[in-house]
Amino acid sequence: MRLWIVQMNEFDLIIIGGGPAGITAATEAVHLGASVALVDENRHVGGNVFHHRSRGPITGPSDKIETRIGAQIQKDFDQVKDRISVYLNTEVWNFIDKKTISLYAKKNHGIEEKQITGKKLIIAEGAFERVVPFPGWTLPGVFSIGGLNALIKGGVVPGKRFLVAGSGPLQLVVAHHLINAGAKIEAIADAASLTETVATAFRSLTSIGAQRLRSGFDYIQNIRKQKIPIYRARVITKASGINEVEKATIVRVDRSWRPIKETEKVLPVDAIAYGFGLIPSTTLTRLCGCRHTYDAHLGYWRVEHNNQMETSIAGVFVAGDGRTIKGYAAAIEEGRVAATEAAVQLGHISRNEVEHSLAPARKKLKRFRRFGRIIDALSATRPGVLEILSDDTIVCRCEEVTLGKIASAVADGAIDVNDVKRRTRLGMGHCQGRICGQLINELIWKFTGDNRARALFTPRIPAKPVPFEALTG
Amino acid sequence: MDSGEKFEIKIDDIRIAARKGQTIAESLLASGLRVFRRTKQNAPRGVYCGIGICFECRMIVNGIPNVRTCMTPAEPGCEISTQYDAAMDCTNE
Repeated sequence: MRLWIVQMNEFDLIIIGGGPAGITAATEAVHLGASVALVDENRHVGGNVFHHRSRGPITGPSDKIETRIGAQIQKDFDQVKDRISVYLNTEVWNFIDKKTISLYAKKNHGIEEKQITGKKLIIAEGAFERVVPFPGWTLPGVFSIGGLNALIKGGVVPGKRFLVAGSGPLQLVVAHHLINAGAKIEAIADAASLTETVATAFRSLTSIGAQRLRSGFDYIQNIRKQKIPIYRARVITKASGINEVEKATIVRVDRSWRPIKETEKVLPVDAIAYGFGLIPSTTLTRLCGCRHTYDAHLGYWRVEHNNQMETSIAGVFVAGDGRTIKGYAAAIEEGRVAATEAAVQLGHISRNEVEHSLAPARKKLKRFRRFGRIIDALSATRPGVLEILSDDTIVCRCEEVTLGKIASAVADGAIDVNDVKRRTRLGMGHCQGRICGQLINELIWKFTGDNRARALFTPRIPAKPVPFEALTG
Repeated sequence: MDSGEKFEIKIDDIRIAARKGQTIAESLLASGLRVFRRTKQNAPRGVYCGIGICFECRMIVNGIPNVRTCMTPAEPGCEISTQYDAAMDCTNE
């Protein structure tokens, strides 16, 4: 493998993440006169919401508006793209200092390693699925709901008989797409009860308006038309099969999502879509050193920031679902706010000028955030659900660490996540704890009976696995 | 649906059809193949998160191990092998 080291480049503004927040921020910053670098690990901009364009059967009631907005921000970005240094297929793996980052990209003849530095930085790293391990969840055929949604959008239906399980509105969207793609859905198992779902719908009314709420009902109606059973207050407790999923067990749960004995139902399915909403990715904000807080209401760690989207580190901003989960419409507005504030700090525009122009964005954001919190509360896991794990259930998929091994580590004196990590290798594999790290605090509390010890895995470089050549360059 | 140009790729000596614009993972799943890797304990693994977070879908692509197939486009003539972690010198760099 050949290695190229490209000289260091300096920009007014570096934006990490080319999703809705990132490309809107880039467009805005260029218009305000800043020199901009945009980095994304994918081969395209648009993020996970927009990148699949119209390849798959995307026909849901909310997809039309999504496609229109996606096309619009893409068009705005394309118009100024020539003035942006766009690094695609490129991983950010290290922070040399708060605003100098190490990148590497795989090229045809080897890897390319680079350092770029910015006077300001916007981190828009997006979100991923919230998961709860269950027996059999590592079997091929179990997909995260978001992952399955991406596959269907790409025109691929990886199974014949589906179970859609977990919580949150994405269940309905995925079910809708599966129906349109001609797949058979055996059942939808929603952890929330009907009462909770209806209450959430009413609470959303004021923040998203009747039109978008109706699109939710349209989804349900379409599912009803197919006579697909929707089981409420149910969680999946088991997937089984030899090399792939052959069946799944669901069980009724109480208000804290604790499984109720002797209510099991076995379903003949070969594919499972599973997830509990989304949580913000904080890999890079943590590596950069921004301050984070645990939001007990939402059930995840989030980065702290002010009204200007600036984090605890001056000149480092966040935007989009990497901050809290609110969806693309809010991400776009946050990208706009962050880029504008960066431009103010860089001296490209005066503060007086922007306060007026940002007023509509701030107003919209307020509404979107309220909606985000309501949806988050519906999706967030409740403590009882942890009882679906048994001793031999794998928690860390990468290092194949079971719940039993975590229990032994705690019995041996481990007191927090980093302690368990050192003793069991949990979180040391390829995904670097992104999956198992989500619920590890809660699992440890189960054994210690003490919920004061709350920690995050200490962020380590490389942020994503990099070839050895990149490190030795 | 996409009508991208079709070509062949090889997976463990089997030839399957792929389409321009598809990732390797999408091509394999579209052909009904779901087991991508075997862990050190020989457990089967396949696509899980689909967005490059979980690293479960990694395979050997054109001789390079640990390639996330959900992030890597299928290209004409590319050769893919099921990855057996136990057989590798070092699966955790």
